Amino acid sequence: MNMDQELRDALQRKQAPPDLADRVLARINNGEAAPASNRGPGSSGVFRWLAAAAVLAIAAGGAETYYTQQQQAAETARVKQELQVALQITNDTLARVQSKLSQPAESSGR
Amino acid sequence: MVTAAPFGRTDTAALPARPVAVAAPSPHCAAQDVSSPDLLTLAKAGDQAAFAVLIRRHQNMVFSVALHMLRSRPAAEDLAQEVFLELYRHLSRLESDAHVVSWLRRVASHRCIDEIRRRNHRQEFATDTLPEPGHSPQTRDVFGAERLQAMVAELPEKARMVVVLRYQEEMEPTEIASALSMPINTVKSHLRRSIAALRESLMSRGRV
Repeated sequence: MNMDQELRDALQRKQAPPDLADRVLARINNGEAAPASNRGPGSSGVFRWLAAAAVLAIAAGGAETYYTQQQQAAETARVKQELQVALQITNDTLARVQSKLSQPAESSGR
Repeated sequence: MVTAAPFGRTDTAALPARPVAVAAPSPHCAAQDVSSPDLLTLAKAGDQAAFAVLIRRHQNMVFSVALHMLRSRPAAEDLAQEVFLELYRHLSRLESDAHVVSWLRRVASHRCIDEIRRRNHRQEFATDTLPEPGHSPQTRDVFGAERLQAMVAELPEKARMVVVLRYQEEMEPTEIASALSMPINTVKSHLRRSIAALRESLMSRGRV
């Protein structure tokens, strides 16, 4: 016998259990197979849009928070640098004053 | 409207699409006499008796695909139930009996492949693969057929699905490609390689 025929014989359809339909109907009547149009809000288009909108809102909120934090960090760094410059200027000025104050004393000492 | 009680046990393989190995008695109910378009219309309208007839008409096909893929009667029964529950959910989108058949083949095939991948079940179904009395195929060599079924079950899942659809359902490669969302050349390649592997395996065991 050729291979095709052997496979056809081996893979013949088998008899399904006679009560298969009854079991399926019992499950349907137990609410296990609500038709797509009668399903709850979990599968409706409105619910999916609401879920997508919520995800977008959360993402936008997160992005805004992140942006604000970045802005604050940049502002802090800028203020810190300005303060350092101001302290440097003050330090230089004080050094010059100190230098001028010490010059007459040295000249009078001669 | 069909009036048959939905839960009256009707041990029947009503109106099978093609012959099966063992024919069951077929007591009539009203819905069984309804033509296909009317049956689908009635089932869509919520007539459970009509839906029961629709199940009985196609249950051997769905069950056999699952049985040949999973090699387990309990698993095949569970899978067939799930497929028909899904059919019930999708009834409104189906337009003809041919559409129902192609839909059932496609969904059953994909569910079988998913099930095999999920379970990685090769070792799991060792005990329930023996032929049952009354379920033996009408072959000249029952044990040879069983052995061949077991060898088919050793094929990778997609190749196995292609072989089952080709030889159980006698589908053309183009139909299989459509059902499995697979390129036609891939289907042909699966068939060619699977036949070669099966032939080689049979030869190594002293057959053919």
